Amino acid sequence: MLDTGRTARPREAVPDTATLVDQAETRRSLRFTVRSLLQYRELLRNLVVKDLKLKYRGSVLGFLWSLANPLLMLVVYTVAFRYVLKVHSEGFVLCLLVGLLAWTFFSNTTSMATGAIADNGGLVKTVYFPRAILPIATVLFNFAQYLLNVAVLLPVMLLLYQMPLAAPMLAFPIFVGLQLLFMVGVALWVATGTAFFRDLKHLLEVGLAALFWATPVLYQIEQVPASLSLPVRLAPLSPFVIAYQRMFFYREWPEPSVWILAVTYTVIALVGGLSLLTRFEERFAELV
Amino acid sequence: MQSVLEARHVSKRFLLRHNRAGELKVRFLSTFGGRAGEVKEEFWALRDISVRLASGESLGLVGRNGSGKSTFLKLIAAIYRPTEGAIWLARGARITTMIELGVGFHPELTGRENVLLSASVHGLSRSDIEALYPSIVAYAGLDHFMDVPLKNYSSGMHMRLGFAVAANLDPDILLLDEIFAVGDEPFQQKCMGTLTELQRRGCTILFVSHSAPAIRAICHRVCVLHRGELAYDGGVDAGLAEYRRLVAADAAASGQPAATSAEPDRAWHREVLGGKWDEAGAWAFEFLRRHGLRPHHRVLDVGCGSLSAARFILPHMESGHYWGFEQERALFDAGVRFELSRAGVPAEWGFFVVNDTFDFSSVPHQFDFAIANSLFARLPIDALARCLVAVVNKLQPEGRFFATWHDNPDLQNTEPVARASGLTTFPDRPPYHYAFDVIAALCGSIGATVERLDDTSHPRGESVMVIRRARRAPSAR
Repeated sequence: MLDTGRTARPREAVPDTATLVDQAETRRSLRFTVRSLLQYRELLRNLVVKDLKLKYRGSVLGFLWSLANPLLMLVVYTVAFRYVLKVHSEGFVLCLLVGLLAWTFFSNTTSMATGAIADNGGLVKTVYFPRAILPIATVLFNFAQYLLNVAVLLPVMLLLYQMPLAAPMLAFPIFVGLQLLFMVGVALWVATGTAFFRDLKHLLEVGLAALFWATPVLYQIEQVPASLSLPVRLAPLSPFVIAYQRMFFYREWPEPSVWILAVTYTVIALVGGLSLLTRFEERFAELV
Repeated sequence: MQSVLEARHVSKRFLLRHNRAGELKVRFLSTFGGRAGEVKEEFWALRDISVRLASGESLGLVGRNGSGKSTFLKLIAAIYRPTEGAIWLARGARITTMIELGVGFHPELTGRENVLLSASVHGLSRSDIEALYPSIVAYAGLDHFMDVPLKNYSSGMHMRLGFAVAANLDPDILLLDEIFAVGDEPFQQKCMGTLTELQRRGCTILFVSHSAPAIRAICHRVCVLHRGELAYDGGVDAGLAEYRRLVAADAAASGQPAATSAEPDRAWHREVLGGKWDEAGAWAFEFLRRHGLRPHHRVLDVGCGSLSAARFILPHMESGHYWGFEQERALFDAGVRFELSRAGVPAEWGFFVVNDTFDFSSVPHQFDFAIANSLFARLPIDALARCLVAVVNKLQPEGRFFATWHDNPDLQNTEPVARASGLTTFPDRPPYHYAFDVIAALCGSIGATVERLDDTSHPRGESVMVIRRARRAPSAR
């Protein structure tokens, strides 16, 4: 009866007026959050596509520009370490590259995520959608660029240094997947946190600069004195960076401690971030 | 009928923080010094509201600004969470919120991209959007513009596209804030038609509006909110009467003057242009009448502000022959909500265009009269040039554009000028003054002629000029 004269859109269900449910209670359940994230996946896709389009629209070289930054950093660090500081080691640049790309993904995502909720007041105040979409979109936006960087630069470097492929490189997709989930978790924490405390944005800028040196990107974990080894291994991105270096530079499987840390960090970030955001998202519209 | 939505004892409290508590510093300091000066003020936007909506019902929500209407809408939309009480919904009911037109629109994206984005903001899946896309484009009537970036759209096209998305979402419950009040008449009629169609299909509508005719056309029932409390819930006519009574009672209680009184009022929207609000509006009307304004003419009130002149001109004109233009949304809103209602003049008698670029592309007429009363004092010279071009292009061949301005009699003088009225005007910041020759040169360059009028009757002591379209290309004097 109700369906007469409806437009093309198929209707899954007519609302069940016999059963009223408390809206706020429903929305705070984790099950509802996951379901609605799936329902709004088209929004997620569109937000990512929008950001990518806006970034490269009207530019002739387009995506090539996002290669420029890692390439430049690569050149700068190579010159600094090989020719100024005279660090000599075969394939140092390859080792640097995998770490640097992973770090760039991490630090770009984290700083962008600070604005995911706080700078989207227009949307947050006028329409309901699962707010987790916003930080997740910033992660995917950066992830797309990370993947393209890897796809272009990694084969070039492997050829250049004549590194034969090795079995441990099969772990790469696993760690990239873990890092993606880890980043989603971090973005959820950061976006929620910044909505409540704007200073977090500035705090993170400083924190990221410090963290860069605490992560074995420009050096290898073996070069660290024993007394500092543990804190460096425990730095948030270290397990991922160490894993990438193990696979591509040493061509060996990452050690168990690296696996354990990477999985642990991912679970903590993701579960913690999702519950944090689900708990507080209903207050976002009053804060931004 | 079974209810599809129930607000049960809903209250909403906002904490107004007077000491920017979003800063970590404040939190940090307060852990040491007890309370480091953070003052929190409670504000109850809504108190104990209980409303039931049956499936297919259309409820009009009226109340003065700040009465909690929008907050209520946002609570139901789950944008806010109730402080007390709860919103109960039929399981599986799909809510669409239209608090703003074109939610998620981005100026750099094309029309098509914006439609896809905006529809997905409302939770539609890809296949749904693709199925709906043709009807959205057809509804907006913008087939040829879908690949053009939104920034090249006129404000009218922008609005049409925004509403086209919203109109095709096909929700079970539609929450509608007054979003199409600024559109022109055909647009508003189309919106109303769409709402009626949605109703016919069984959509439940919650409609916030100040427009009595719109409420009458759509709603079966009215709720009046007054200072966060539900003051009335029942029939439409009695509800609107109750609303008018409350507005009048409020005005009486706060000692505000009735519509015809010339006593000064301290409201901000009356002060913003330099006082003499009542006199300036009355003057503009008298002045136009003296220069031949008749009800059948079409008149454009450029910079209509808080509608001081509209109060007089609107009732005088034939329906739809008054057009107001204003750049500042807030000023215009205050005019509609406080001044027109107080004067008993329905805004629907005229048309209004609000944008900050003097974009008249949504205006289908040429005008016999245009008036810019004290507008030039608010415009820097580039905006003034834009205003002149836009208005002159909208004049009939014989049309006249009257403008008042603060004269700078000495072109050599680049200093502020103190006026007899007590006002000081500036060459480089508002209130601006201009030498007549500067404006004359601007007019000359766009093919218009300008003439200074010998009229000293302006209540703020401004001079008056009249601008006309030149018959031929301007010749050397």
